Amino acid sequence: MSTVEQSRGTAEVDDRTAAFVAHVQAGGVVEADDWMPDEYRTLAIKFIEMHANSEMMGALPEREWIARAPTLRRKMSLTAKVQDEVGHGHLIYRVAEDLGKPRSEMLSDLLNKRTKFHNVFHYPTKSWGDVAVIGCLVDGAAIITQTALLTTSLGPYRRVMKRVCAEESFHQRHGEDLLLELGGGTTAQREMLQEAVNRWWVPVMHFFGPKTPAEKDRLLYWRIKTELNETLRQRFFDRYVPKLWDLGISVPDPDIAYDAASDSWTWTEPSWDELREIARGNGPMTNSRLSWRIWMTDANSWAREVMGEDALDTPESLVEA
Amino acid sequence: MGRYPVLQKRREDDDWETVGYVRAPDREMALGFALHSFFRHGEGVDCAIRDGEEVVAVTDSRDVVGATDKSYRVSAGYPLGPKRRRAERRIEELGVRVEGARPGDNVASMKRDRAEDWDGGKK
Repeated sequence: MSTVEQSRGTAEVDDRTAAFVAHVQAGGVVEADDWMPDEYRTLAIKFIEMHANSEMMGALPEREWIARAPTLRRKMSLTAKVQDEVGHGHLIYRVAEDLGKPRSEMLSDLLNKRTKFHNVFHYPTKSWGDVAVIGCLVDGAAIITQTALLTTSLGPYRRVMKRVCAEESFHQRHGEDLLLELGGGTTAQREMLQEAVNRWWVPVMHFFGPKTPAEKDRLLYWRIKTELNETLRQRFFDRYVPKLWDLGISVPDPDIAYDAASDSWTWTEPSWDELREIARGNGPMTNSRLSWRIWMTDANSWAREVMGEDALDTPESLVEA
Repeated sequence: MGRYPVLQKRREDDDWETVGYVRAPDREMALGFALHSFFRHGEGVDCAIRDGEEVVAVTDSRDVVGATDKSYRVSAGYPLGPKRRRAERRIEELGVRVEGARPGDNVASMKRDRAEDWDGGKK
């Protein structure tokens, strides 16, 4: 037995676990077929499964705008992006699958609200300004968190993130292109952009999660995650608040300010109640988006049959007809 | 949605020949669909659609050759430099830039990023 530092003091663990902790905390990499403690496997599956769910569900808000995009090129850009996001979902599901959870079970759990997807994909998209905000701020937040996963302790996840981040760079450019177009556009375009930023700001703050001390974050302990929520949020402020300000777009937080002395931003912490409701599966568009996914799963069930796979456990549509 | 016959010239001296049709809400979209549906593999040197009695050809023959352009899939397909400069001029004209301390040396982030921009080698 060995003693390792835990969130609440020290704990006695077997030597194999202690060696594993030392390995990952020193920057070591774990492969899917390596021995790993149960807690590591459980947390990794939960985290990666939610990431994959979010890629799949994250394709839907932008998909709604393909038909309404103003030009053919914008339609193609959005289509390519949606295609990428679904592709990322499949790549990431594969990582969780190799840790022991079958994909059919992950899809069933998603459709039955037994697992979650990111909060930002539970909201409606009301205007073309939302597409710019999703492309720039929501994807920007996602890129910041995903880049931090390039040094995760789980080898297969790390390798998949390399490819995902490379593809995300086009998404980021596309989002910034839209932001500049609307921000440098007509009064109506600028108002549309400002209104969308105002609506999305709190969900984006929620996206990073509450400030959690390092010693309480088990994902950090196992180095599945590599950075604190607040570190990532501050990086987001560094990159995106000046971009908005330069375009004359304000951020709906009266206290947001950069302090050069501490090299950090002060900001107003929002109420977390809305995020908790979403985590319970009660977001404004949760049922509608999941119902789409259920419909698509049912419509494609013939392909699963042909491949000899079991039918998925899909609930009835979650929205009233 | 209108139905637009698609016309093709295989070589410069050829006459137009009908190769199929597309359905689209307007001429612009019909030409776009025609290029993407019938000229993906360099099938000809010129493309047009018929709108009633009128033949509407693509205005730039490079579009016919470049119908397989997938630049919208990559970062380089979004040259931000010109758009950023246009936005900067517009913001200056409106006088609406939001002031406030920024990380680094207070240089506008737009200027900071400019060096990284790709604008099709037109700088």
